[in-house]
Amino acid sequence: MTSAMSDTASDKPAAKPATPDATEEVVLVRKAQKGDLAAYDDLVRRYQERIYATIYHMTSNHEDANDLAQDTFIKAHHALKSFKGGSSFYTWVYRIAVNKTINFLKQRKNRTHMSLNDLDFNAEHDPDLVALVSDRTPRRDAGLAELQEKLNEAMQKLSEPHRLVVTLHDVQGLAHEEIAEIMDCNIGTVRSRLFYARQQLQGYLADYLK
Amino acid sequence: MKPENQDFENIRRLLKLKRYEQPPPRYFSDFSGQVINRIRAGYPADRAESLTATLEMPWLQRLSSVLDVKPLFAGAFGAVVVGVLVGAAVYSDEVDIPTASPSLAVSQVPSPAPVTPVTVSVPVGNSGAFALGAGSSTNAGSIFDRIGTPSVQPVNHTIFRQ
Repeated sequence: MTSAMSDTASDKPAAKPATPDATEEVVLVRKAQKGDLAAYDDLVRRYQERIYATIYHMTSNHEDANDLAQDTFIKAHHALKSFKGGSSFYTWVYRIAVNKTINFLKQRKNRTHMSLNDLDFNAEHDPDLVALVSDRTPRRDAGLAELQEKLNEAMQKLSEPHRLVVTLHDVQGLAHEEIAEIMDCNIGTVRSRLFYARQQLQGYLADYLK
Repeated sequence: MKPENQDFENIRRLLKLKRYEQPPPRYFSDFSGQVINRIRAGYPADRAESLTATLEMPWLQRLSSVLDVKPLFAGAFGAVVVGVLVGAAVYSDEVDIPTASPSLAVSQVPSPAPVTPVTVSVPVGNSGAFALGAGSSTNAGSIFDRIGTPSVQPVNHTIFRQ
């Protein structure tokens, strides 16, 4: 997968019609290409949370995610002149982030050091999560913090492509088509990876799911 | 069975937990500013990768990579190496002298010849007289010769000549 995903990310035709938001993005990109740093600052603000979150869920480490997210936007700025607008800026930056993260994880190999972010207060009120920590769970003493740690450990056991598909689809809510475009593979590959990754996770977290 | 038909409802629910993992408050309010500052300062885009790669190198390769990119370090490193070599050479010369000299000096001293007292006259200054013994160094050419001798008087000294 990674070999097919070049760092500067080849552009593909955008499938979606241009929305007002997309038009505004095109204007910002053109300004940024001419050296307007304020315009680039706007672009960073638009996507910083999603890019950071993707990297964070892949690494389970806030500090690494911070460094890699910053490096992603700096690299994107350096390569901005080569961006022709064939794909959306969003997809293009995502590819840079994904490639950077996968390269980083390969260098890190199995030396996983988790540095997890705190759970938002609202997690305690999510009905799905409340149900998981209910009497249906064999580990009734398991709180959300323990579940968070076990879930991240299980995620780190997945291979990078499988972890990426789960992150983009089940955590960030991207469509199969978008994931296929970011990962530069077909939709069937995305689906089969998602199936396998969920199956793996279910096995790792069996004690917390039955 | 198609992949979509398998029930992964529980694992999907559990994965929702990750959406609640949030970085520290106000983290994103500073983020873009840091990126723009790094762009203005001309920072490289591969900080994390280069750091990780550097940490994984053996020490010799790491040293070499530091010297490659920083000529000042390379110069300083070269100067230190040369200094150590010169210091080692000087130290080894100094160590050789005391080991060889005393034994040779003792063994090669000729047997004393009959001593004949000789009286010579040496002009010296007011500071007083001094005696020259056999084998001692003379003061010829010394900086003390340049000091003026306002009142010179002849003084008789007795020395022993072999």
